[in-house]
Amino acid sequence: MDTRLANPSPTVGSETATRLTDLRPGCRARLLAAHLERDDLALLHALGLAERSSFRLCKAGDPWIIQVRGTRIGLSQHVAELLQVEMDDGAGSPADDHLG
Amino acid sequence: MTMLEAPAAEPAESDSTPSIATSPEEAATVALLGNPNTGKTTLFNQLCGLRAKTANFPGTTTDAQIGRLDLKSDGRADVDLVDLPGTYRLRLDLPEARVCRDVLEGRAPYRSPDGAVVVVDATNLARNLYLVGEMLAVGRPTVVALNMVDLAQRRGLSLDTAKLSRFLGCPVVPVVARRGTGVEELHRAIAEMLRTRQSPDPEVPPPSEPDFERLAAWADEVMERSVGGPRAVGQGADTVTERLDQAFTHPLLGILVFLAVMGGLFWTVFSLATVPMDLIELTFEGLGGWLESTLPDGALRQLLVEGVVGGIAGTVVFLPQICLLFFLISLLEDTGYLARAAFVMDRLLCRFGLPGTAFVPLLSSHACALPGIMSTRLIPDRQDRLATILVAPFMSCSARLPVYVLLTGLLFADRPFLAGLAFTGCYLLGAGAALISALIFRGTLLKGKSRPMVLELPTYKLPSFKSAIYSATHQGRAFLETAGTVILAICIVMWWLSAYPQVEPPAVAAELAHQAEQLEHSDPEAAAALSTQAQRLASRHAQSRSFAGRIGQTAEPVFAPLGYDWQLTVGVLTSFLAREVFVSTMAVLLETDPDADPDERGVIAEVRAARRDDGSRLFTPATAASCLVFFVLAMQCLPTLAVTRRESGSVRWAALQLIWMSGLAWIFAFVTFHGLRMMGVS
Ligand SMILES: Nc1nc2c(ncn2[C@@H]2O[C@H](COP(=O)(O)OP(=O)(O)O)[C@@H](O)[C@H]2O)c(=O)[nH]1
Repeated sequence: MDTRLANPSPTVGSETATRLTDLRPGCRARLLAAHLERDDLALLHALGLAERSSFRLCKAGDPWIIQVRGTRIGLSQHVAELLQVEMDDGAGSPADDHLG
Repeated sequence: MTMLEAPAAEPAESDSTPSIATSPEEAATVALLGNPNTGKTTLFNQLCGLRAKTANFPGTTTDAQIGRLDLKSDGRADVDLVDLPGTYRLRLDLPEARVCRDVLEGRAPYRSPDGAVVVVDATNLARNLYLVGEMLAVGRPTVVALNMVDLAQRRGLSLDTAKLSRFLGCPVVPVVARRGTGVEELHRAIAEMLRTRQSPDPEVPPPSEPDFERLAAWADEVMERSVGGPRAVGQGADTVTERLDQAFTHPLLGILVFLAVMGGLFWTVFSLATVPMDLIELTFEGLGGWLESTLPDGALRQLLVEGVVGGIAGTVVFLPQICLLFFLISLLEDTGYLARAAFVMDRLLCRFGLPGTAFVPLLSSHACALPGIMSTRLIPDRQDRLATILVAPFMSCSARLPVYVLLTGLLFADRPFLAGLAFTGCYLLGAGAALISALIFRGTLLKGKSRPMVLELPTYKLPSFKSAIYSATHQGRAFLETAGTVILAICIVMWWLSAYPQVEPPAVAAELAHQAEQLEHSDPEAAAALSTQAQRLASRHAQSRSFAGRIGQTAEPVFAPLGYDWQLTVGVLTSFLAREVFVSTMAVLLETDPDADPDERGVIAEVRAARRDDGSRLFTPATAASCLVFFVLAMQCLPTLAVTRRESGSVRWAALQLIWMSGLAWIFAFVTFHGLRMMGVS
């Protein structure tokens, strides 16, 4: 059961799609697609990481740690490899920049 | 995380535990819900104190705390506050979310609560609002408790509670659960909610259908309009958190820290608990002595002194350790470290075919395998679940603690460092056996890979002593309830089995006693020695002829290769009913050696002084070590087997668990005993 979140192709005007595991720690990115099972995906959503969500990669390597708003989320290597992201230049939607 | 708070309840008690569905019609009930790590437990404790009882949600194995809210000052009768399991959303396909949904929507067998309190974390409002939005859509009277406002303020966030309350259409009460600030106001708001029974009337209505995108958009809108403060707070790097996370999840350092933390934890338990333990032993000894001197000689006195007081003393003496363990685990859990440890464990666990989520059941099993096995319901995949259920009882539960203390104490008397090391070794041996068994099961009966892990990493916090005390009290009480019922019953039965049928002393003993009488005047010392010997012979004879002795002698050949005599065999067999009984059984079975150092009486001294029929010491180092290994690995818990059967849906898994664990225990104990003997340790 492989549910795609959003269009896995890169959107216009953004950098190209990469895998989360290709990012460098400290950089900001947006989630494009998560090739996870439905239940795992629902949990990611509930934790605040949905399509288009902007996040910061805090730590590379198993476990990968990202921060979405005020929530730090640990992802095992296996999950991290299944997340497709695009680099974010920081001009995200205002709500994303609140600590909330 | 509240992963460790599952109480050590016996399934046999579940019939008598109050159930949420059957709360009396008159008492109003209010549900308490919130995301994990929002301070829900802290708030619950603030609101209800220790006036809480554990209940179970019918048809599930999820435990709930029900507390009494005292709203008399607000002109209301008492109100039951039901602490629902922490969940990020109501619409998640996870057991906790399902329970919350069923309770809130009043689905049979639950009666819909009269209102709800949603605890939200002010420093993480947007995400917490998802749950609030879902709750508002349910349409029950609701109060929002805005927790952690102290942290929010420190981070420069300004939250307009009046605006927030208007947008959400329900009261919003700012609180600092940890300090108790705002709890009065929350009480009042709850009383008011119950008086008006008004459903929320949000100015910004949440989406009615369970569509995540709309819910997220709604939460953003509410946030946008009610929260001010520096932009991008919390987005920037918090260097302390970053560094700690790096260290705690580091491939090598992370494991070292984990080992050091757990080792330190157990060492502290081991060394600090000795003082209260000594006190308890002294107290019960005093009580036994007092009963002996006041009651007339006879069966009743024997029953009370040897069966009841002796049995309870042998169990209660371990209360300090259990309380201390849960006190420290609660502190550790509060710091936020355990979530990091889960990832360290995940890397390890997935190599053995277990999911990272198995960390929760496996760690809870250190308290008791029962809640541990029950919490495997959190593991979505059936194969993963079965593997975890099968190996969870290998984890050293608190019932093994007394046995570990006793036997490591025997092995390394007056060498606390070595005893602590052996103690940690027991925990590692149990965990190692669990992992290797999981690997074997995953490669044979339960083929497949485990699910990946996603986990919130809560902010690092200073732990709360109050929560730790609550947790320790709660677990201690659960342990005492077991000690007061099951264990006491087993003690009495054990005493009866070991005291009856009563037999005449053997001829040799009678002869010795006769000689002692004759020497009494000419050589009092020799007479005393003779009469001691006579008594010992008599009681040994009586024991070996008792029911317990006969059972032990019948089963002895099975355990003789491990270095056990019939007395130890009886101890091992009775501990199948409940492990902690071992110590008290031994205390009841073995008579006190009158030669023992009078300063060093008590359970441990008694067991140390125990003799075999041939007069040699029962607990040689090799026997004690083999016994220790046996207790680490063996399946000696009837309730656990019952739960395994229930959770796995088949008696075959329970049988496999019993045979696998006990077989492994026998083999390892055998190897230990003979290995040590070959190395010259007898
Ligand atoms: N600073 C601060 N910390 C809090 C507050 N309430 C709870 N905590 C801490 O937050 C952590 C999680 O609390 P807990 O009650 O276990 O959360 P639960 O998982 O929601 O039950 C603990 O370390 C608490 O001491 C608060 O109002 N302010």
